[in-house]
Amino acid sequence: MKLRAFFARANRLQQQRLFKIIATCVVLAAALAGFVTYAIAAGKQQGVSFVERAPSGSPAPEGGMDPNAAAAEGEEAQLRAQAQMDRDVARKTVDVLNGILAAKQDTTVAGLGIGLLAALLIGVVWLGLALTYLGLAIATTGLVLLTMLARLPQATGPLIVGIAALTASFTALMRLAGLALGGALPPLAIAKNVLDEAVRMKISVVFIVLIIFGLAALPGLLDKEAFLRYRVQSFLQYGTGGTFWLIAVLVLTFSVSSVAFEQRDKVIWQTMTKPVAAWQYIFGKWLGVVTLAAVLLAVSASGVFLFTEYLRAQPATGETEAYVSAREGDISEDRFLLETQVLAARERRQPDLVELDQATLDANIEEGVQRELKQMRDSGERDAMILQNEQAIRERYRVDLPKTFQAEYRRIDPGQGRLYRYSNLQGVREGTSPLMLKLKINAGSNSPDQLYKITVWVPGDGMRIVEMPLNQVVSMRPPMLPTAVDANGVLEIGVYNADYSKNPPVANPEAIGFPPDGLELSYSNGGYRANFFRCIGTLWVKLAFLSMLAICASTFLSFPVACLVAFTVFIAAEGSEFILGALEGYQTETRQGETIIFNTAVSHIASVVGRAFKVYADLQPTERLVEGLRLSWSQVALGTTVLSVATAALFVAATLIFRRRELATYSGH
Amino acid sequence: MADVVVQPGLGLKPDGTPVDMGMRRDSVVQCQALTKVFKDFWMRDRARAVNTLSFEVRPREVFGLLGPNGSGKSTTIKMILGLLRPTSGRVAVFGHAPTDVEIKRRIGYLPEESYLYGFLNARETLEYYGKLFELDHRTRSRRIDELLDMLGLVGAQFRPVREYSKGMQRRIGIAQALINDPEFLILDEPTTGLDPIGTRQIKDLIIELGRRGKTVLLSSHLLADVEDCVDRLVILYGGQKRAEGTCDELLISQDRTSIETETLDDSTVAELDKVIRARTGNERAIISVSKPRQSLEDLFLSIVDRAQAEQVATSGAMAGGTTASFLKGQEQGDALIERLVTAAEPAEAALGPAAPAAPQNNVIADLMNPSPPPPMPDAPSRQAAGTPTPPPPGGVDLSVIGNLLDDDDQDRKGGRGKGTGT
Repeated sequence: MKLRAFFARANRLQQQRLFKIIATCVVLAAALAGFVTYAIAAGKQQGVSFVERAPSGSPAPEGGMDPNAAAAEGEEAQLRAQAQMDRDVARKTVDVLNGILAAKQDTTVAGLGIGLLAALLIGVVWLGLALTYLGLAIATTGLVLLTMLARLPQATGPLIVGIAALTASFTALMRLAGLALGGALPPLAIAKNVLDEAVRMKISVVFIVLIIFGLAALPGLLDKEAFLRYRVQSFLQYGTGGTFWLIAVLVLTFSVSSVAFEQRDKVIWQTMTKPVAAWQYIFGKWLGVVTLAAVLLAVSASGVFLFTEYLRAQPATGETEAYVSAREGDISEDRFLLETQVLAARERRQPDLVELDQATLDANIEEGVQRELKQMRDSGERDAMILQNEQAIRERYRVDLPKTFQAEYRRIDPGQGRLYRYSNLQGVREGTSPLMLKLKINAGSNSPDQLYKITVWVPGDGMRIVEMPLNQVVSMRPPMLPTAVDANGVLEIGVYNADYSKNPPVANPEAIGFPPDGLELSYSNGGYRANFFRCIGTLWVKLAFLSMLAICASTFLSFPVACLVAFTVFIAAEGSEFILGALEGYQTETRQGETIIFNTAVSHIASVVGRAFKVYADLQPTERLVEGLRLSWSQVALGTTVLSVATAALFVAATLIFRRRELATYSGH
Repeated sequence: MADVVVQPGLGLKPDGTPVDMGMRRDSVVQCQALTKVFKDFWMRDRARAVNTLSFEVRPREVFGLLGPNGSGKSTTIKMILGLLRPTSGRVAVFGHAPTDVEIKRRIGYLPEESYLYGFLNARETLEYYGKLFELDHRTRSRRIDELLDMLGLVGAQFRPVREYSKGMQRRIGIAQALINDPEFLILDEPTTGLDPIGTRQIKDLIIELGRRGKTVLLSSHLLADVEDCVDRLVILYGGQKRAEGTCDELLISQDRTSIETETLDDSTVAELDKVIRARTGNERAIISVSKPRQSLEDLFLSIVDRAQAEQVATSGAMAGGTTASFLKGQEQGDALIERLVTAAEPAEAALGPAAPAAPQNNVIADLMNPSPPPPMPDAPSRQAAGTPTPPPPGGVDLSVIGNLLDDDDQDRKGGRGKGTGT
């Protein structure tokens, strides 16, 4: 009884305005003190990790062989130019590495983390739950201490803390969201009701528990012996991708159930006999679901972001402590790749397409067409048939020949070389981002036991010999410095189908060909953190679209059928890139040229589906995050616009369908 | 006025178009030749639930929709609410289409079963529906408090509705129908699942709302419920109207008179019989004399009253308090009292014809002659307070006594509340 009275008093206390004001001041003071302490501690480490010279693993500032260099230049001028270039490269190398190591002193994340935590705590205080959460925090700490005393596995403590922190954040944000939707307007009331439904019905609670538990358990599942960059990538993959899929499944299931079950159970009668328009009902349901999705995404994204930063602050392979290489004045390869390839926002580029001369192209088309027609005449084909086929043959050449030219441009015979050009790289030269070249070659039958050695010439850096297993992606290391780009924003690299480190050069046995993505250049363009939030925002836009899709389906379909439709569209949208890729090799004709009707129909449907969701699929926020690729603002804007229009169209459709429905005859079965 | 018996098919012209049924312009509900045919997947007729039904619900009247199960009562109500579309015919509510969102601000609806969000508690449920009417926080809170108190759910207000008994869920259903203080209340089988206390309360509530000038459409197959409350009614069968009129028009037996007094000895009864025979030339006499017994409902209510007085614990609904003040028009002090007064005035004008009480008055006066009639008690005060009142003794028609009491309420209601005013 005394305990109950104590709790009652504590509850009354935490509801008092004076208490809330004092608690807010305490939280703000603590946050400020925490940030200042961290900033001072981080500042003390200055001078430890900055590199004053180019590391041995970085591109060496030495001249390389240039097979195409003109010998006409005077030796003196060449030497002067080379010396200047060497100085530029050395300075840029230091800039690049200092840029990476500067992350150690960066207080942005600490400031952001402390700010978010303080905002959440102030929210909790003003919800009148400060002492409740404080009690829960003390109880969690006690539980963790108990697990340590009981000698439970080491991961148990962090798991409990993770679950408690995520649950507390989730419940606090849900309460705040409920407060935000507390207005006396039908859409807000319906949305608030959806939030209440989400946390009290089994169907959604299961998913919420899965997300929280999975995210809390994930750090414990990472292989501590693995390279730091792989650990970070794994965490980003499962943390962001996994939670997105779980939230997407929850959004689809919950959106459908919330509308379909209300009709089945007739609860909707009492809502729709109130002054609630059809659009308000649909909008309210959608608003509730997307708010839930936003809360879940915010909790999981915050968890992923903060834990990724925690991992980043751990020593990488080859480091004695974070950002301090075991070799003095150097930077470990693991750290280098983590900072430049994973926790980055890289832009990807393919070499410029070969410019085709229209007259030459037309001549080639004509030559090919005439050659085929002659073959037909020679084989005794009737004139009428030849005339009938000529247009089709010409069209085929018009489509295929440019592709053939481009493929030929990416093909290099043994012992030969070719220049590839990347233009519009203005700004890259002035930056501190290294340029990564990813190569992939095909040769002969792509025998897996063959290893080709190709030579890559980089301006200002000389020759690189790259060992290439066939049909596999290989990154050229070390990456190129920004100084490889000329003042016009053009990078030209030479690739030779031979090992030029030998004298005489050793040619590979067969011609090599690069697939369309086999000469991919990438470089950082913007920061990882901004990219992270763009990706998370894009995931939310996707979820908002999925929610409206599911709601629209459930306005006229029963729960199982609406679920089937919604999930089919979701999987088609997520897999549209794969569908379009698979269609390229899908046969719609027999070897004799006869059309296979079924395959043709499938191909047409798949093509329509694939193209319909192309923008959705091209966003690829999770993949970009894991691979450190940039999701640009223009891509975000395009994706958001297209998905918003689609969502609005579904909203209009759902409203019209809902207005036409006779709610009192629906059986739901 | 004679009973109105309507022939099937009335309301449609030979060409199938609805005829003008002479309905009032200010009718709350107008149904003209309303028909609803349910179809199967292949669009074949499956059931004709309502068939060329025409009637109107006038302002400030309690209107009954009677009929056995499957007679089309609920289907008619759903068409009035826009939950179903008529196959043919026309329905208008406050002069607008039932799908008009704005008219729904003036309507309260209780479905035949309680369809509630099981995960919400009673308070949250009423909060939700209050917000749909865009009621501000203060009004919402006050009304919720009063409704919970009125329906005896204060003690259970924080329990999820799914844990409620059927009767308790019914009470919440009634509360949500009243949260907006509706001008027009549609009650579909309101007493289903309620205990006698709740049933009595609902009847009192309907009467109270009728007194305030609210319009009530009451659908039921429990005839006693309807008889106690309604001004006018229609009786449906097979989706068609079989009868329409006031209770008195349909129910008063013109060839019988009942008299109730304190216990009389046999000689007095014999004397009365003589008087009757003498005055009617031996054409009429006392047919039967019986002693009224207490009804089971009265017994039940008195037991519950005693238990509550002894503060016996219960996890269910309490007997409930008085009618919520906002439903009695007392929510905003004098201004609202003023509004209530002005709102009540037209109610008198709208009432149906009074029961033919005058001849009966004369008979009683003659019987009691020469002593003057004693002053009558202030009968309607209990009813106005919403407290349960004993029902009429079984087998005794109290209409004559009721008319004799001649209080304002009885006059105004023209017989409404029969059985509860004595």
